[in-house]
Amino acid sequence: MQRAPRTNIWWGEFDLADDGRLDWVVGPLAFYVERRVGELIVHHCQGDEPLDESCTVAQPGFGPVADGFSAIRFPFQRRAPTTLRLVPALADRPVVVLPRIPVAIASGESLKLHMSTPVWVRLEVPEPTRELMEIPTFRPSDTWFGANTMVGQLGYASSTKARVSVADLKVRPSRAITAVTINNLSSRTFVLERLSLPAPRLDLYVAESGQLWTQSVWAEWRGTSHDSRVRIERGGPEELPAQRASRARTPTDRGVFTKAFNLLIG
Amino acid sequence: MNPWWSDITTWVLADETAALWRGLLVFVVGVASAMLATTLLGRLLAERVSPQRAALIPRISRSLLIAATLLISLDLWGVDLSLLLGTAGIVTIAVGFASKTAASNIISGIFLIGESPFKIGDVIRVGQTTGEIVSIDLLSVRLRTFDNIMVRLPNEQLLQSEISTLTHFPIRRLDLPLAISYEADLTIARRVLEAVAASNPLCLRQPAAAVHFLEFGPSAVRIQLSAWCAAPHFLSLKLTLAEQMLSALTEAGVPTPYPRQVVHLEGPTSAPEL
Repeated sequence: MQRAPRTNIWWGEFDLADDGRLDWVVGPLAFYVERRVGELIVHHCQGDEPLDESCTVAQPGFGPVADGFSAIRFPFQRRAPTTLRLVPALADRPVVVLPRIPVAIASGESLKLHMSTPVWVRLEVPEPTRELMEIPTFRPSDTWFGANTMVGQLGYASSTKARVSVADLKVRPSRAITAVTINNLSSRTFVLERLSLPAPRLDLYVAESGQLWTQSVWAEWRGTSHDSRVRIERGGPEELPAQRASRARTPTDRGVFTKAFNLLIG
Repeated sequence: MNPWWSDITTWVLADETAALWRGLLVFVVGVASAMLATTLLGRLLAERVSPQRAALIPRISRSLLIAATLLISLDLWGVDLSLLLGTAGIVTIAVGFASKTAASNIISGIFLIGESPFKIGDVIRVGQTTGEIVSIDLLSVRLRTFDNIMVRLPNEQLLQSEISTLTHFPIRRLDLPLAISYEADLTIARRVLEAVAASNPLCLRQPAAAVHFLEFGPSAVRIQLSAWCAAPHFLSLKLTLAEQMLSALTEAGVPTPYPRQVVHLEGPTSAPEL
C-alpha cells in the first residue's frame, strides 16, 4: 500500500491492497476507495465550502462508513485491479464566472484576470485504461448563458474575485486557475459582468506548488461580438512553469475563434 | 414425353405467355428493388432527419414504387390502364367519402411532420393530457402519460389544438405559488425563498430566481417563487424545492396559514335558554 506525503498533488497512480482502503480529501470533497477481491467500492461526500483548502492524499483508512457518504460498487469478472489512477479534470460544461464586483475596462486598455473553477476527480483503472467514474470536488449550481432563454448553453455558475495579481492567488487543490486577458480595442469602456469559461476545451497543467492551471484565454473586444475574437492559448500558463496534468475533454483546434465572443462574454 | 408435360412446355414457351412472364418478372424485380431501395433510403435518412420523417418517407416511397411497378406489370399483361384509372378514380372518390376522417388524419399528419412542432421524446400538453411522445404516425400521435398510460391523439385533432411543447427549449421556469400570513414580514419571506433557490444546485443562477407578489387573498397574501432549471430537472426541482421552501419558512418563523375566516360576533354572546 502506497503512502504519499501530504501534498497538493492528489492525483496519480496508487496501489490498493486486498481488503485495503485509501482515503482522500480534495478541498470540499472527501472520498475513499475500498478494494475487495472482486470489486472496488467508492464512497464520496461533498462539503459546502467550495474554497476549502484541505488536502489528504491516499491515507490508509479504516472504520465504518461515515454518515453522509454515497457509495458505488465496481465489480470485476476477475480480481479487482490493484492500481487506481486519479486524474484531475475540468468541468464537463462551460463555467459561467461572475466577478463579485463588475470589472470595467477602459478603451485601449488590456486586463488580465485570474479566476478559479472547481475541478473534477476522475477515477480510472489502468491496463487497459477504463474510467470508473467522475466526481466533482464541488458541485456548482446550474446556470444559463445566452442572450435569451431560447438560445444559449447550460453551464455551471461560479463567482470570482477576479484577481489581477498572481501573488494574491491561494493554492487550492480543488480549483484550477485560468488567466483571461481581455483587450478592449473599441472606443468605449467595456464592462465585464460575466464570463463563460470553455472548461471542456481547456487542458490542465500543474505548477510546482501543486496548483492546477488551465490554458490561458485571450479575448479582443472590438465593439461588437461579430468583430471580436477569442483564442485559447497554446501550452501552459505564462505566469509560471507548469506541466500538463490532463487533456481537455473536447480537444479543439488551436487558433482564433471568430464570432465566438458572445460564447465567452455575455 | 408425357403429353401434359408437353402441353405445359408449349404453353410456357408460347408467344402469348411471354408477356405474362415479362410482367411477372417486372413485378417481382420491381417490388424487390423498391423494398431494397427504400430500406437503404431509411438508413440514409436516419442520421439526417427526424425519426418520424425517417420512418415516413421510405414508407410513402415504397408504396409509390410498388404502385408504379404494378401499373407497369398490368400494362405488360395487356390490361387497359385507362379503364383501370377511370375505375380507380371512382373508387377513390367513394373511398374518400367513406374514410374522410382517416384521410384528414393522414393529411394532418403530413402537415405536422412538415411543420415539426415536436419530435419523439418531447413532452407535450394538449388540453388536459400531458405526456411524452413515443411515436408519430400517419394517423395519430401516441403519448405516454407520467402515470404510464398510452394516449392516442388523432392528427386532425392535434392540428386544430393548441399544443404546448414543454421540452422544446433547454430551460424552463418553475412557478411555486404559496400563501403567507398577513402578519408575516414579506421582506423576510422573500429573502428566505431566494436563499432556498440559491442553495439548490438545480436552480439556475441565471436567469435568477425571483419572488413575485400575486394577490391579497381572503386569508393570506399570495406570493410565488419563480425559479429556472434545465428542462430535464423540472420535476426533480419541483419536488425538492417545495419541501425546502416550507421547511425554510417554518424555520424562519414565517407562517404559511391554511384558509381561515375570522368571525366577529356582536350583541349578547350567551346562549339562549332552551
